[in-house]
Amino acid sequence: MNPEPKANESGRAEEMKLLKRLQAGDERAFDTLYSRHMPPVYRYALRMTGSQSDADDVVQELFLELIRSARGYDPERGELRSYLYGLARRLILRRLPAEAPANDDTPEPAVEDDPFERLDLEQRLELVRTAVASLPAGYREVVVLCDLEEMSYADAAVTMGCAVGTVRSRLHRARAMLLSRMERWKCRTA
Amino acid sequence: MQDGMKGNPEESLRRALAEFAVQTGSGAASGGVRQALRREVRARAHRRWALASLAAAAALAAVVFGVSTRWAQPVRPSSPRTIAREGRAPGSSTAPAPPQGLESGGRTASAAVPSPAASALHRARPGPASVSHEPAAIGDWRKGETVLSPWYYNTALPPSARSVLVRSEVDARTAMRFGVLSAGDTAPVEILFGEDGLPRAMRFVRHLPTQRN
Repeated sequence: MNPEPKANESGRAEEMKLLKRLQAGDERAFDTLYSRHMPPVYRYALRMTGSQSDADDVVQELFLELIRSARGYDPERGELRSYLYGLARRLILRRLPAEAPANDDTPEPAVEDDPFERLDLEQRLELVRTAVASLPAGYREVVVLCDLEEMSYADAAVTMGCAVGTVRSRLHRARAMLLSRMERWKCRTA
Repeated sequence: MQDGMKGNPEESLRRALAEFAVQTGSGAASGGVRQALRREVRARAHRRWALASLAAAAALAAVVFGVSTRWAQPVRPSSPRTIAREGRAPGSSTAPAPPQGLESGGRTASAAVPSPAASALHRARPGPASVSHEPAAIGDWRKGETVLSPWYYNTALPPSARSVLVRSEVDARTAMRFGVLSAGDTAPVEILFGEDGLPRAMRFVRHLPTQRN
């Protein structure tokens, strides 16, 4: 018998108890839930928005909703973490400027040279930061979730509300876009 | 220092992304966010405490009010004005017999014989037309009471194996229809109720003043 589902169930039951205590005004329950879930949510928001104040706002709104009602959270359907990612995504997308839908048919030019060649760590980090921030939101979030947050494709699909295949294809294309943009910028700066 | 990476561009990208993830992985929301959220949690606890206190106070006030108003009321008999005794009717096919031992009283008055009209009436009528429920001095009835009329059986109902005798009063007009004259506004009666709560029989009684020896 697989013990993992049981562990998941007990974990969900424990989180549900914490959530109820939080909604009853228990500060210790708040501390536990905040220290457990704030860092990933904050990181996700920061990487998506690129702004610390926006990330702060997302965290605050998200926990306020958790304290007040946590409507829509059903422990039978999934973990609190997934619910929080979904909620954070909604709050983040509300903050991002509206953009034209990406044209998926346009092929990205193949990159043969390593864009990171002869770059030091700081330059590489800056290049990645700029490239990720320049991606359309739909591609950025798949890179943030899968490559930066190291979420599984299945969990990312749940968070994004799409099929696993969509996550895969978007990730593939997002990486190609990143490489192509980095190559261009590197040529320009060179 | 040039810390370049040579090789497959996709592999380089993966490594660069991992570096970026590590570099940006230690962020946390500002302390102000935590404090604001803590204040909200505290306020929520305070609101719940206030609501619970209010509910408890309201419940206490209701209990105090209920107790004080109940104490203020005069003590009334729990049963409006009737006494009930349970009796078992012997195996009569059409009507229950009056319970034994209830005719504690005395003699049957000769005037108690109902008129022919009343005799005809008692078979069709399920019971007295109106029964008053004013409190009565039940205890006084037992002393010197006299059976004034025979039992008027309600033949429209099936006989009941068990019955309850209830003492009550009917108004004088109703008594008149049974051929019983009453000096006052009401006439005392005994009503036999079946176990289904429906009246099976009724008779008039007369309360005579206790004779002094």
